[in-house]
Amino acid sequence: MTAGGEPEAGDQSASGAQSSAGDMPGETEPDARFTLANQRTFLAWSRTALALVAAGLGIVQLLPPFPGVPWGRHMIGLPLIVLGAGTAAEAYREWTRTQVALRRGEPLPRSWLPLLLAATITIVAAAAAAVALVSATR
Amino acid sequence: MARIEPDGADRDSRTRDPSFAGQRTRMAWARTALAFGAVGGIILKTSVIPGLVVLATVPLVYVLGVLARPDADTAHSAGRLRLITCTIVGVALVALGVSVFAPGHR
Repeated sequence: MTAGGEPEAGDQSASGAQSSAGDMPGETEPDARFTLANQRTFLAWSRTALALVAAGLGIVQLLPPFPGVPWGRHMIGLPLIVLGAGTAAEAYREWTRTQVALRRGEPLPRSWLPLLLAATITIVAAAAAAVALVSATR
Repeated sequence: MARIEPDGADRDSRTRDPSFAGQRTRMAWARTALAFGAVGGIILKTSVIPGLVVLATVPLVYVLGVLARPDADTAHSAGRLRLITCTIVGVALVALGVSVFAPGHR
């Protein structure tokens, strides 16, 4: 465990991992702090997903239309809303995979969410710049 | 048994969990409920009924996270988190519908 009280990976045998009736063979219920940290990570991704939905909705509904590019707002906003739904689903899948790894004492799985988020936001930003340029030239 | 101090604080539970993991998790749930409220507010600005439906999830999410047992095990957590995931996907679908069909800023 760290000085701040956070458990470290591999620390669960010393910090309260316990068996329960529903455990699969080779699995134990991890320390509650691991479970709660995993849950907080899921909730943080959930808030990111909701922020993406809010941003997409705000762009489509609240921004004034781009002059000369009537589909511009939808082109920028709709992918963000779809990304929000995808982020929420992937966050749950990652929570499940991480929880299984914790229960088995295995290394934590690699997360694809940061790459997915960075790539999509980069593409949407490029599309937004293109729409703004086209709008400015018309 | 937890020892309660005169100021009402439960010192024993602090000693057992010096990182306040349970408290931080409850606050994370509260922030998530607020995020649902923010999305509901934006939807409400253009479509009243879908906005109210999304706003109705705020107390549900709060109750689900903050008032539920914070140290729930994997099986208990899985059901709650699946419900949150489905709710966010539902909110995203509502947002898509509002974006496509509701008249926006003119």
